[in-house]
Amino acid sequence: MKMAIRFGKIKFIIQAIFITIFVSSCDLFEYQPYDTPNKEGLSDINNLNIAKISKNDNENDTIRFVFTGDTQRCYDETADFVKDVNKHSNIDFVIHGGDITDFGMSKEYIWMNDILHDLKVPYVVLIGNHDVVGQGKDIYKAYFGALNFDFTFRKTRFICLNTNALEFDYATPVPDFDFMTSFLKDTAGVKQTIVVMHSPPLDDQFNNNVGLMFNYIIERYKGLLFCLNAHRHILSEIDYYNNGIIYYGCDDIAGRNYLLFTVIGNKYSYQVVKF
Amino acid sequence: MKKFCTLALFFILLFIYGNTKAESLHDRKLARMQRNWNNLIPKQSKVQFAGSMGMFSFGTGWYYGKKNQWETDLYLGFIPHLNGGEGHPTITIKETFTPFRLPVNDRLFFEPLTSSIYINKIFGQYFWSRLPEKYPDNYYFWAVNTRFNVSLGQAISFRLGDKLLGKDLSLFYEFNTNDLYVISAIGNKIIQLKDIVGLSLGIRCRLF
Repeated sequence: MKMAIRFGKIKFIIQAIFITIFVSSCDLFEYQPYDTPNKEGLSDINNLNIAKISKNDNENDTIRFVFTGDTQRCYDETADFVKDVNKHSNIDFVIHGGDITDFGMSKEYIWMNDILHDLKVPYVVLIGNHDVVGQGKDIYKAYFGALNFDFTFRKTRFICLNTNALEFDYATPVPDFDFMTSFLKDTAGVKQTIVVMHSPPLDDQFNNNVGLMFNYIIERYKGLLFCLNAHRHILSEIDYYNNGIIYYGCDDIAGRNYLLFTVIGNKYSYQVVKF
Repeated sequence: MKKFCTLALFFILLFIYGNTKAESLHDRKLARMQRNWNNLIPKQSKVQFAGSMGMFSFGTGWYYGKKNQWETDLYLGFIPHLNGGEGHPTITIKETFTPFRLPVNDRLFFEPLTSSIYINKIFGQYFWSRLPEKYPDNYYFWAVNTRFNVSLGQAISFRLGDKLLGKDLSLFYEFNTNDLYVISAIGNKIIQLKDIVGLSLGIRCRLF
């Protein structure tokens, strides 16, 4: 059975198609899931947020920050997390310990960043092993910035390290000792240090061959308080090298809880906040 | 003697008949073989922009079925700069089903629904199909270089009837998504259909 459609109708359909194409513009044209579309506001996110953190820097010696990680495919839970953190009025910033994506695809980075963008406080995101897969590390660099970074807030230095050694070859040092040792002498205006990483030592993902050197440098950081890690999807408090340096591990976001740290002078405490 | 001549003639005739029959059988066999091989000659070409299979992909393929509603195409695509870095080639195999082809007038047809499934593979250093040896077993479950896509779209076709340009020319568009996007959207209210679909445009040329 043949059905004839009047030309007017076709004309309307063609017009509709062209309008759809132009209105929706380039966002819809995807070349490959690991390709990074140029999106406004999606570059150097970590440094922009560090600038916001620095704006609130003052002589006060109390810091309250949230540590979470492994948000992966849990978009709804992350949105709930953002709502819960926004309820608190005295949080200075949020640290995401990595695995912001599950497959390392650019759309996942965009979706998750759109959710985190609703936080009232600044946030920084470390790179996790899932974020590296495919060309994920290039997407991370394009959107968030350097794989290793640091910032100092109220005389406490936060050193954020890429520890996903299994994902990289020898062309990229993981952990980057040049970066790590650069803080040993440069301690002006710094009273204490907190080290943040995605994968903790002794994990499959970590380069355990250099674990001793890694620990050697960390032991020498000025006023080291503790280390933070994500990746293991379990709340933990482990002294990996039996030297009194505690690594606090956060649960994944699917566990619906996060760590809220309070640092006052050289004392600190934390609580597990359920949401 | 007469009897012998009749018999000889009969056998000669039978021989000739048999020979001609054999020849025609051979001919038919040959014709069938040629027809079968001719079916392998691609009947259409496609150019597609975007669609998670490269920036531009160039395809060649076949259409078949009672109403020519099935199409199989093989594409070679490229991405000039993946993440601003080097370019990557891709290959795609695509199966399309077009249930309706509505004539608008003598030269114009409208295909209100085209549906496809396609598998795209990208080549490059960081794109593996089997988990590299360095990882513990089952560390990652998906093949990074292979995406399974589905798409829905529409097309308009112009009958050319021109021996130079080919039989007909179509313009089509498609909305597509892939396995990992669907997996990401499942269980998340915040990820909606509009977040996981992409758009692609294409031209199809049927030569004969």
